[in-house]
Amino acid sequence: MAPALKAENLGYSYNGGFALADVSFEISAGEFFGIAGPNGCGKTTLLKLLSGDIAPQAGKILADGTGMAAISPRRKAALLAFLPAEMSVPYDFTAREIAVMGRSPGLDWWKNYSDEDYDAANEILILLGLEHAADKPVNALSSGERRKVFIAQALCQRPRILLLDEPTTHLDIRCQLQTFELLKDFAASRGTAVVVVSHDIGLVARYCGRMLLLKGGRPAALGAARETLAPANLRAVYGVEAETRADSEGGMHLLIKSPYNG
Amino acid sequence: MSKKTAAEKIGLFFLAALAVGAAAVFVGPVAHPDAAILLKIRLPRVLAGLLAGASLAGAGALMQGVLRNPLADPYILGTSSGAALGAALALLAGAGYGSPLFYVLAACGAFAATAASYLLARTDNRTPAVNLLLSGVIVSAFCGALILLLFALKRDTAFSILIFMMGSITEASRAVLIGAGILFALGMGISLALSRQLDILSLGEEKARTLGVNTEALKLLAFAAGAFLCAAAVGVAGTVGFVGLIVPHVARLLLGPAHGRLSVGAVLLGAAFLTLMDAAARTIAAPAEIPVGVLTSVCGAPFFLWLLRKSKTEYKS
Repeated sequence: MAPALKAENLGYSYNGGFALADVSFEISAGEFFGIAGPNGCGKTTLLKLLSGDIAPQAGKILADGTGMAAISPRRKAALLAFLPAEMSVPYDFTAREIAVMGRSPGLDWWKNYSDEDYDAANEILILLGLEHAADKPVNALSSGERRKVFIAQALCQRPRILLLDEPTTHLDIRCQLQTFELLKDFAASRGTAVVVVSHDIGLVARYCGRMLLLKGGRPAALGAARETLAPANLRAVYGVEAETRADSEGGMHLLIKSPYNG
Repeated sequence: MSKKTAAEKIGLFFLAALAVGAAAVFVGPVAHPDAAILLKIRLPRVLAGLLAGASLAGAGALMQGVLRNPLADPYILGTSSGAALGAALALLAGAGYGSPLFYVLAACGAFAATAASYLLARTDNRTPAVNLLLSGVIVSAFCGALILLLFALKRDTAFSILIFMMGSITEASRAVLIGAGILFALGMGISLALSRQLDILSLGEEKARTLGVNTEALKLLAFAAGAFLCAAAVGVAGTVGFVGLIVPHVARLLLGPAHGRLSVGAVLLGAAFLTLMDAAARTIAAPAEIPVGVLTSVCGAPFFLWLLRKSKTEYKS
C-alpha cells in the first residue's frame, strides 16, 4: 500500500533567501509523526508544502500515491486537515459554529450543515473537554481553549492526513499531554497519518513514533524518535546538551542539561 | 443562539419593516392625502426606501463578511461611488433612470470600484483594515471627482446629480423599482447561497482553502453580489452612507455573526431604518426636503462611534 504521505526531494525558497532543500520522508496511515528543529529551520514552510497551500519548487508530494498537484481543492479538503500556528477570528462565532465548519468539505456548496454534522461536532467537543464552551464565542475563551476548538475543527474533518503547526501553544502542561495523547489515539484508532510540528521536543519524544529533525532547511536526522533525538543530533541541531531516558513504564523522556558551548 | 430564538428575532424584524413601511405611506407634507397621492407618490417612495435600505444593509453584511472586517461597507469602500459613476455615465449617454443600461453601468461601476479598493489594499496576501479604509477613500474620491468632471462638462444636469450624490429618494418610477428589485433579488440570492463559505472565510483565506473553499471564486462572486445590491440602492436612492455599516453591526449584535441569518436580519432592519429616515427627511423641514443621505450620516456617524466604543471586543482581529 502506498504511504499516506510521501515527500520526495522537496525544495522551496523565498525570493532566493531562505531555502528548504532535499527533504524526503514517508508517513504511513495511523502513524504519529513529529517535525522539529530550531527557529527558522523551515518547519512551517514544510507544513505549508505538505498541506498544498504552496507548491514545491523542486520535488513532489504524494498523498495516498497521488501527486498533490493533481488533487482538486475539494478532494484535498476531504483528505487533509491543517491547523495553522495562529488563528484569528474577527467575529464572535461560537465554539460549536467553528467546530462544525470542519464538516464543510463533505457538503455540496449550497447546502447547510445537517443535524448529523452538529452531532459529530458536539461529540468531538466533548472528546476535547469543551462541552461547557460550545455555545460561547471563541473570542471569549482562554487562548488554550481557543486552540483546542481549532483542533476540534480539524478532527471534525475526519481527515486521512492531519497536519498541525504547534498544536499545544497556549496550552498548560496537563492539556499539552492530553492533546498529544488524543492525537496519538486518533492516529491509531482512525488510521490517520498525524504530522505535528512542535518546539516541544520533549512531547515529540514521548508521543511520536518517528520524527524528522530539520536544521537550516535541510533534514538533520530522520527515523525513530529515540535515535533521532540522540545527544549528538541535539548538540548539532539545537546546540544543547541533552539525552533521552526511559522511565520504568518504557515512556521516553528528554532530559535537557545545558547549552552546548563546544 | 438557538435556531428558534434567531427565527423569532427575524420574524420580529420582518414585522417591524412591515409596520414602518405601512405607517410611512401616511407620512408626508400633505396632511390629508387622497388615494392618488398615496398610491402614485407615497407608496412607490416607501417601496424605494425599503428596497434601498434592504440593499445597502445586505451589501454591508456581505462586504463585512468577505473582507473579514467590521468596518467595511459599500459607502466607505467606494462601491457606492462606483455605482454612482456608472449611473452618471448612463444618464449622460442618454439612458433614462431605471433603464437596463442605467443599472448595468451602475453594477459595473460598483464592481470595478470594489475590486479596485480591494486590490489596492492587498499586500502579501492579506487585506489589512487600514489599507482597505484608505484605498476605499481614494477610490471614492476618484469616482466622485470623475462624476463632478462629467457634470461640469454638462452643466444643465449638475444640480440633480448633486442631490443624487448626497443620497435622496425622490424619483421612484415603476421601471426604477423593477430594475432595483431584480438586482436586489440577484444579489441576495448569491449572498445567501454563499453563507456557509463566507462563515469559513472569516477564519482567513489560508484556513478556508484547507476547508475546501475556493477563496478566489468566493470573493469574486461576493463582490459581484455586493455590486448588484449597491447598484440597486444607488438606482433608487443615490449614494446613502452608513446604512450598510451600522445596520449589519446591529444585526450582528442581535443575531450573531453567522452570515445567513445575519444578512436576512440586516436586510429587514435596513429596510425599516431607511424608510424611517426617509419619512423623517420629508417631514421635519417641510415643505423643504432634506436628502435622506444627509440624515443617515448625521444620525449614523455618532451612532457608529458609540458602537465602536461600546463593543471593543468586536474589533479584535
